[in-house]
Amino acid sequence: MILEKFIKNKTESLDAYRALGGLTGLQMAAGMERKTIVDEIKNSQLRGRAGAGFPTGFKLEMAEQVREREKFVICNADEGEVGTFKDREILKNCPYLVLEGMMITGLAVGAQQGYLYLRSEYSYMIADIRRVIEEMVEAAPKLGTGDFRLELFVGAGAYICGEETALIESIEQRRGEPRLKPPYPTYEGLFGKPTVIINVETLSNLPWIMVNGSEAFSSIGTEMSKGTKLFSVSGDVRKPGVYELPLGTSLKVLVIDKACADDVKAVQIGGASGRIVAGNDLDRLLCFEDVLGAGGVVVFNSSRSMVEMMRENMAFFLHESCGKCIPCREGTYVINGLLSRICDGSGGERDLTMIREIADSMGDSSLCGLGISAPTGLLDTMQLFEPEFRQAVSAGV
Amino acid sequence: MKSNMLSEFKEYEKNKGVLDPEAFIQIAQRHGRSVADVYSVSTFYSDTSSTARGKYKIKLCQSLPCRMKGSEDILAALQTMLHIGPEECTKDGMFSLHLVNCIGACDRAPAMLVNSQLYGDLSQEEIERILEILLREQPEVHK
Repeated sequence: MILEKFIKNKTESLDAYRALGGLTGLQMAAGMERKTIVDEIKNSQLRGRAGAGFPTGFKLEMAEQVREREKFVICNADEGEVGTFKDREILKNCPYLVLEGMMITGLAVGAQQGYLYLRSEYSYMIADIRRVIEEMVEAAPKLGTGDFRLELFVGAGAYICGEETALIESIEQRRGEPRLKPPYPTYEGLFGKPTVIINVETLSNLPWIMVNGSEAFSSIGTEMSKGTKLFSVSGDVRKPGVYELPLGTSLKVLVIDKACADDVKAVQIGGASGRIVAGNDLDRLLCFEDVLGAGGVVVFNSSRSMVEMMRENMAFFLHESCGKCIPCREGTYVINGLLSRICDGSGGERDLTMIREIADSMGDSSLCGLGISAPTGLLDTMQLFEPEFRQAVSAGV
Repeated sequence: MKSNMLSEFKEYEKNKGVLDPEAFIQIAQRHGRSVADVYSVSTFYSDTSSTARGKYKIKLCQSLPCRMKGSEDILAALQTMLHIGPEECTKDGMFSLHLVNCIGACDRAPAMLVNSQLYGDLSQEEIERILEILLREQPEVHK
């Protein structure tokens, strides 16, 4: 496993981090050409761990090739997806690893400044992360990295700021509303400069890739999904927590063997915006080819009403929609109202058709991933548990 | 970066207890932006609300995994003990109650934050214990 040893116990000091093999990857990167680092990461076939799965190496390659003196690296630690807490485990136990990943990224693309955007709900980590930033900024130049400035930026409670352009707006001290893309942040990001934004877990894989090589990394996993992944499991299980598994592992291993679920009616993978898999279909594989998202896994047992669960999820999106684009702002509002009506027993067959229609338009026309993916779980549930919805329409929940 | 408006909001509230109109005027001047603009930024984020909030801001998670583990019972218990509803503040200004979305502690559901301190695996007894400690010892408010 790649990350397990860093999240099992708290790494108390830089020396303890070195003892775990820390800083070796950064030191190696410091002795390489920019393009060599980028190629190594590209060959590893590492893909983003926050849900979208964009190939990290391509992101770095594009940013490396832009001819600009000033570039930025941003670590996206705005982990807000419901049921997801894997980045918390890394940041709480070993912020060194994340910062080393940021510094390697800085060397790869030629950036001298990094921001770590931490969600405000994780404010209890601020003091610790600040201390580790100081240690790392002092230690890195001795490894030959040159100057790299690091700054911690703490958010103020907005799920949407996990969207990369909304996050940039937030650092620029504006409302965290997503921008229209293109231009992509890689070319025109923070303060109009080329910017690579990478998730905490993705960054944490970079030191390992530098040390062990891209081939070792790509030997783990499936054809399209290389390496391991952290999964956050919660809901109706006896052992909730964070588990690391090679990509391509079956859902059954995670939910039954690791998290000890006794009774599985359904599983939602990828948080509130994730896919729903029925309990009799646990042979499905956790990878980009099948189901994955950011790896948040919520288990529902047979006592749960799926209609009600989906209403709770939609209430989340209603609150977190930023309101900039109409399909998401109005869509989450109307679907939420329809689901409440159905749960109250005053819904009708027509409401189900309307939900599908609105969900389709949201998927087609929302500005960012929030609106596009908000109805994903609901649509899956309506298909997998159709009788339950029909029952709710006639009698409520 | 020169200064961070979001942390200035938080700092102001910590010192003055509430984001009053003066806060937006001061911060707008410092940043060379209009008061309306600065106010619109503050209303976007749930942590920079201009309503009066308590010394201890209790933020109870209401997202699905916490709901599944009984966060509604915790809410009821808090309401009974504090005699306030969501988004309200006790008369003595000690506590305010807020319902928030996922705080990333689903493995310890139901969970809440008191200012920045995380409390998980909540039960009615645990709530009583926490409130009692906060009232009795009045430890330094967490940033």
